[in-house]
Amino acid sequence: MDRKIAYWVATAAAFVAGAFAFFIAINLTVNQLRLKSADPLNSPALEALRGELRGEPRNESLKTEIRELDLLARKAYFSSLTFSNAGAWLLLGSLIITLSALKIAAGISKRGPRPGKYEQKDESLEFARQARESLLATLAIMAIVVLFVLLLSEKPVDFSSAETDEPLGRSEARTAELQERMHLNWPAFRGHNGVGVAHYTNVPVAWNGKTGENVLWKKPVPRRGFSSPIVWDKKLFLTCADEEAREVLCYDAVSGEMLWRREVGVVPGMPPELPDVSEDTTYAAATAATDGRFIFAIFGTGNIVCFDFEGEKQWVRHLVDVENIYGHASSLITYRDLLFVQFDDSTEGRVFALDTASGDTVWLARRELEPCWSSPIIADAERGPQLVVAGNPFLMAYDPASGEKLWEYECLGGEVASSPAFADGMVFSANEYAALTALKLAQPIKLAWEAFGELPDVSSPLATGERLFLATGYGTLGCYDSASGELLWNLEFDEGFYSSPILVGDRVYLMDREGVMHIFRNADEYEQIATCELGEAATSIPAIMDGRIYIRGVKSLFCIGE
Amino acid sequence: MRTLNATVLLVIGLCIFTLHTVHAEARFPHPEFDSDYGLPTMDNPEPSSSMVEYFDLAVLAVALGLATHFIHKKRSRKALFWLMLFCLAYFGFWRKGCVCPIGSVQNVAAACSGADYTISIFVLGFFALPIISALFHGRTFCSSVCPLGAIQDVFVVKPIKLPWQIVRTLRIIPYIYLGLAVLLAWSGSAFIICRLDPFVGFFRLSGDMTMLLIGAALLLIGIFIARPYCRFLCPYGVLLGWASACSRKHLSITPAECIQCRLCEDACPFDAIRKPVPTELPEDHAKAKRRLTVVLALLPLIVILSGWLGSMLADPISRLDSTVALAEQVHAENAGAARAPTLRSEAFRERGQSAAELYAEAESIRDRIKTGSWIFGGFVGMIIGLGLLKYSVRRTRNDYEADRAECLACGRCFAFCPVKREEA
Repeated sequence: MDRKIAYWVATAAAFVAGAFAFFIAINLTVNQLRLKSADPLNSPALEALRGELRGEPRNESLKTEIRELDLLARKAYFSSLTFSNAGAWLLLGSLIITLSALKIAAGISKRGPRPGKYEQKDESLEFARQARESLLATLAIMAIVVLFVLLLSEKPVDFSSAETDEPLGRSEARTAELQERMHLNWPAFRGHNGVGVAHYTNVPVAWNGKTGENVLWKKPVPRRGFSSPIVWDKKLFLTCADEEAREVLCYDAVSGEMLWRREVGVVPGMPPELPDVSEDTTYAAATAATDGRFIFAIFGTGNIVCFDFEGEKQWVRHLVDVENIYGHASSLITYRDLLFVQFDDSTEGRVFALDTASGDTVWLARRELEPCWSSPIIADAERGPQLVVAGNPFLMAYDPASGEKLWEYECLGGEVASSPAFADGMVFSANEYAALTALKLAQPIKLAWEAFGELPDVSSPLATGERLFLATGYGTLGCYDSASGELLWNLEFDEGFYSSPILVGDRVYLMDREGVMHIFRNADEYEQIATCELGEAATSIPAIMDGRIYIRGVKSLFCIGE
Repeated sequence: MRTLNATVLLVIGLCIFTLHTVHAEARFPHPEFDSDYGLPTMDNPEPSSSMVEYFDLAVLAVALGLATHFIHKKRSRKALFWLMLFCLAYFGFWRKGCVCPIGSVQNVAAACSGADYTISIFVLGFFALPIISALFHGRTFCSSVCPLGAIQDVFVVKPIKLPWQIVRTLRIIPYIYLGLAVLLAWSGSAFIICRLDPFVGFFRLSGDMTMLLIGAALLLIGIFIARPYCRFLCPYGVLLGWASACSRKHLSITPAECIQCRLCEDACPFDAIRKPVPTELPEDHAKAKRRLTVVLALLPLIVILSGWLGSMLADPISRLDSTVALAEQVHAENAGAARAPTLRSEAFRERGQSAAELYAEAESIRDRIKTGSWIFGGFVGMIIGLGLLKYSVRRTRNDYEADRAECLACGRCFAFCPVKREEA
């Protein structure tokens, strides 16, 4: 064949094969992009059906419909994959043809060597000189590269000093500073130390969630939960959960804008099936806690997670497999560098102290107790802080740092959900079918008095120093003299109380299950100041901050302020 | 030719599209409903039979033998090309590019470290056979047996000649790569040659996107700069080059006496043909002697300087070790640096090992790498120094010859020589 014709045949073949390859490549790329963007198992249609199924979990025809749609999505997905694989082979084939044709064309068009006139000359000296220069230049380049690498790389870590490092850059001063700021914030269930006393007193005494009066903002909460909001400076944190996901939410406390929401996700060690929880507990019954640097949250799955304030996950643990008839509900609390978790379920009673930096267990107190839904508090006793933990049947206290058991007192029974209270060197505990017990934190622990009136089933008592307030799920509110145990007054309301009373200056705020806040004087006689409607049912504890009250209703999160 | 070049570029563009496609990972969750269907349990596949490994070794030996025959007896580029395609198909696409002699350097280094690492006879065979072959017959492995070389060779369409200074500078890279790979394998840190293999993704039709793109870029460059990985990166090529430099018999451009027709002058796409050097001395003997003395005096200084530069890199190099990287991560997390936990640090905490133990282990690896970095730097300095020495000593050459160390024995130059075997 004529060389020219052969060249053009080869070039044409290269073009045709190349065009075919290009066509295949475009199709494959489009298919690939479609595959990457497609999320067939979470398509809106499937999601909608799943949503319906959640409402009607026994609807068999709905299940069949979902299964059929699921199968269809899988078929479509795997057909696309088959298309991709076939296309890849076709592309490879066409590329081989293109390349071969190109090589043939290049071979035909290649001109033979034309060395020109022969001249005897010695280039070796110049050649060697250039080589030497190149080698020396290489050495210089190496030095520059090393310099750049050293400039760009991080300083090496000195492991020898690591043992003396405190985790997470804690210095004694920083920890002390944050601890000092705890009382200015609402860092845990029932605020600082979990005792229900607010630092700020400049909060409204009038609002109406229905009319919007003094409601600065109201935001829907994406998932269920009975946990309460916590606040640090300008950030509010909340947990919510359902069977699909367990989440930590962060809001701008000023504007109500959601800053981030993070799912806990799958945690190593967690069982494949979620534990059962009752409708009035949910997977997000426990309130989160913060130490001012990190936010800690625990869920009914037994998973505990730590995020920083920007939403970066710091650590996550599956703490225990939950064995609890209602679900886990004990809230978290921090003290200095430790995070405390009460986990009394059907298998055994446990109190964990976790390192806030790593989530590692610093100490673990095992207790032979019955299941409990109460939350621990920090009692700022004269001899030092004590971690006071209610249980069935013992009320116990531990040294927060070492986990050493300081004392125990048998005074509780039944299903203990009420948390202890503390003020002026006295610890109080109460639970339905048991007793209201006042203990003096002396050495040894000393019973001050006992009472057996209307006792709380869910709500926790509030100790104000002079008085003790008790609210119950069936609508009674009692006031006791802290020193003598004398019942000063007792009232009955139409609605019950699952929330707990909070002391704000000389006022007590107590919200009933319908979301009506009862505000009354901390006094020996009942003196009502106001009642304020939220507009939806609520069982959480309000978070009291500077001029604002944050309340979680069953559906929404409210910010009350003037 | 412009059209041809444009088409070539288009083809490579398509290759990158292909990469995008082959990178797809087929992952799909299990059906979400309980049913009678029992999901198969996950288990590790059985290791391949050792017979397969010995068969691979046998194929390697036969391929090396055939390559030697085609280079020295048959002198056929065409035969070498077909052998190359077979090896590309077998060692590359069929055996997925593993084990390859290039990576086996690391196995040997790890085995020499004294650590608890055992090298199999099969891997040792893969390491040694090409070197033994090179000692007798030059780089026969590079000519047509290496799948990495083969995949690049098919992309050589329009090779150009690079300036000598650039070539000389780039040729230091394989030595640095070899030194680094041996250091990391010897310290038990990483097998970087395997991790940074640019072509294995093509052989497996799947892989890390970055490495696939680097591989595609090398193939694109390879259209004009022939076999760039072999010439400017391959660490095993260093060993083969050394062996080939001392080979008993090497590829000869001409089958008989060179008639100095100069037809082969530009025949080599790898720039491995050396011109004759006349015997007459064109420069002053005293000057040449002085230069040689200076280079000899500089040699230990260069080695020490380069060793010191290497030692400066000990810490960045040690971060390539997974234990050191984990220890730094854990330390950073514990020290409050705003690093989010990684999967590895989470797994470490789950394992329950103490941070102090981890730090001690990391410190020991660092010490090892620190020592190794001095040797690594010194080795590179030694190569530069010996290069200076080589180019300071004048050697004469009568004919056009293939550079024994750098010739890849591809046989392209055969066709350019007008001297016929019968005339020999």
